[in-house]
Amino acid sequence: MSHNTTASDPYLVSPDARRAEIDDQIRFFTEKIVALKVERNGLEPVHRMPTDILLRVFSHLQSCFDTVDYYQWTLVLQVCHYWREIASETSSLWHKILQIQPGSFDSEWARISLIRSRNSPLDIEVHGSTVRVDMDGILVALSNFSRIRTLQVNISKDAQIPQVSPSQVLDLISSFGTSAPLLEHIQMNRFLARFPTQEVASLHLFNGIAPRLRIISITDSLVFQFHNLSLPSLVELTLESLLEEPSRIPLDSIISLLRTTRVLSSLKLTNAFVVDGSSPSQIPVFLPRLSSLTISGTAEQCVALLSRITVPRTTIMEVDFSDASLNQPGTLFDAVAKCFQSDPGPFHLLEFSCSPQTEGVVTLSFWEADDDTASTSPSSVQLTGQLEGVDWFLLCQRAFPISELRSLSLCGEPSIPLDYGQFSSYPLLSHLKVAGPFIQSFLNLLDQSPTVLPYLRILRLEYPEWAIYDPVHEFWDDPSVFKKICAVLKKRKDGPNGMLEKLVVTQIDERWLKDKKIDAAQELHGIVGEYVLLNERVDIYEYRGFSLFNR
Amino acid sequence: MAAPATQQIKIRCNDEKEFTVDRDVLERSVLIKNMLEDVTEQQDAPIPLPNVSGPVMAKVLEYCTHHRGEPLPSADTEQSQDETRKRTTDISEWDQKFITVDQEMLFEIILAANYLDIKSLLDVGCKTVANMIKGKTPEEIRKLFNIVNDFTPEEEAQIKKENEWAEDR
Repeated sequence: MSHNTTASDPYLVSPDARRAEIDDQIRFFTEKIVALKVERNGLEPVHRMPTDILLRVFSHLQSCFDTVDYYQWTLVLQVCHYWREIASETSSLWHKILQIQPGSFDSEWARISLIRSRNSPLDIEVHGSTVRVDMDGILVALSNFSRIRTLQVNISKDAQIPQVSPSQVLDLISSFGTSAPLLEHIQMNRFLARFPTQEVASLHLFNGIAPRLRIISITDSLVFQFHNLSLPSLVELTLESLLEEPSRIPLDSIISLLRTTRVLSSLKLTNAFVVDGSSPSQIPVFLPRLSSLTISGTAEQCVALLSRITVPRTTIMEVDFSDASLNQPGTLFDAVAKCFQSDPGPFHLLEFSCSPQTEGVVTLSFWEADDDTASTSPSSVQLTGQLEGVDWFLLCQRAFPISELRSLSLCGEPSIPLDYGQFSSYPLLSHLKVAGPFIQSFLNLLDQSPTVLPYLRILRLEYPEWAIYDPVHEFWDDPSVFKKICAVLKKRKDGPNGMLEKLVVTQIDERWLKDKKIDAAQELHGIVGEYVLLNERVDIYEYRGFSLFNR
Repeated sequence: MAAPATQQIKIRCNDEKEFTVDRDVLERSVLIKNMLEDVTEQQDAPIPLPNVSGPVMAKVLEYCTHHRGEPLPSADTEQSQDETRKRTTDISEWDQKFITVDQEMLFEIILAANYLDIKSLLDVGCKTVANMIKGKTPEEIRKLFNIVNDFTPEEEAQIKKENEWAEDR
């Protein structure tokens, strides 16, 4: 149709025809004005940016907004034709589907995002706070499971969960049974924890395989069964049941899942499974890349899991058990030791730290140390539970019989006094750090058994800052302690072991000793080859780390 | 022993302005780095950069000199950033001062960074624009960039419909 800008004679045409003609002209001029405006905008510097750069700007803009106001980024759609066209038509910009509350601005944009994202991968976030959870919205989002890349459902304690109809139940469950080729990360927190499990139990999760799934973090949520599920890319698995109601996932189900993983590096299980009916006779699952293992539960649960897996020596392990003493035979401690790979590797430094009276924690740290420096991070085992009266040294020696151990660090509080026999498993020990309340016990041992540790060359006595607040600090404030150190070392020197090569003592200096009428140089002359008195405080972090040989 | 002299490279901009720059500074640009790697013999002729003007190149070189020696973002970094969708709009203090220029220059720097393939500079530019947009109404954004509302009546109606929810908030 042509647009004639010259008006016809108004007296020769009917009013309807004339009206149509005017409308035509208005349309023509409107289009013309819009075209001119578009052309004008094209002259501005901002419009010289090519599409991919503008998309980069929009992508940065999205990251400016947090969950609450995320969809504020869509204001760019209202700026001009060019921006609107680019933003609307770029499906990857609409990857995030955010559900916060039903019937809201966010819900509407979530619906629009789902359409505009077309076939792009989706990142779904559902946050139920003090408002009702948008079950309809969740169901619509989950109906696109085949293109979900991340799924995060976080429902707060006080969120009102709507009544779920039987058909919604089936829809929800079946969505988890569909293929998940793009799924990389699934996190569910308090999502239908008390959901009827019958249907879920029979579910073939993700149709058997989620090839890209890297992270699973499920806390108090739907109780999935992991039988017949293969997750070759899984890096992190966290299953937690923090409710009073225990988890109903069988251990076998978790073990069967672990068998399919190849690169798992973090495993965290908190009251996550039931032991009933598990088959410990099977060969343990080796998790070659595991760097962090955290288990919380009853001692029975912890032992059951530990006896079904094997982990590298470098795994940092935390075991929090609740209901048994480790002194019982066949205990957790043996299970911990057995689950490590049999080859002890190049470890020659062991830190032993426990505080049974105060925190109930024991930490055993292994360094892969070169020469006399301990620069790399340790791998460690940390056990938390009923520790009072437990002979940690004995347990440690039984569990980790590293006869070539050269370096040892004793930190924390001894649960029983140190004795000669305890050190006999480590006959080659040459470097020893004794810290905090262990010092008194060690000096007593040296006094009573001067022949202990025949190869000891370097001894460091370290009094950490935190211990100042401990009742035993008076021990260190007493100048006679220094005298005692000198006396026991002299006794040692006079025995078959001879003179120590080096003694380091922290938080003490010669001036202070002089005030107390003690001449350190004179006292230590002929007793040790070299001595260092450090008048500096050792903070707790340094204390927990290892600074025995690097000064 | 004296340190080996840094190789100097000559470049020529579209306004004939020439710069002689240390090779490691220029290699912040992946485009130029690839060009230099392709040339086996030492050449005295300046590298032509037909899409960048002298004043813009001077700014780009200021950026490259400040950041010389820093590791270049790899393709993997870029990809993983995209994958995790965790872009941030944080800009370091020096970069912020550097990029405080008029709009014309800002967009020229962005275009130059894109052409020369200097990812970090491109990001600084795009983040700056994103920060300029953030918190503004559409009308304020138009005013900021000197653009006019060029929507068709149909688009206006669609926008109104999309934002009925916002008005109810």
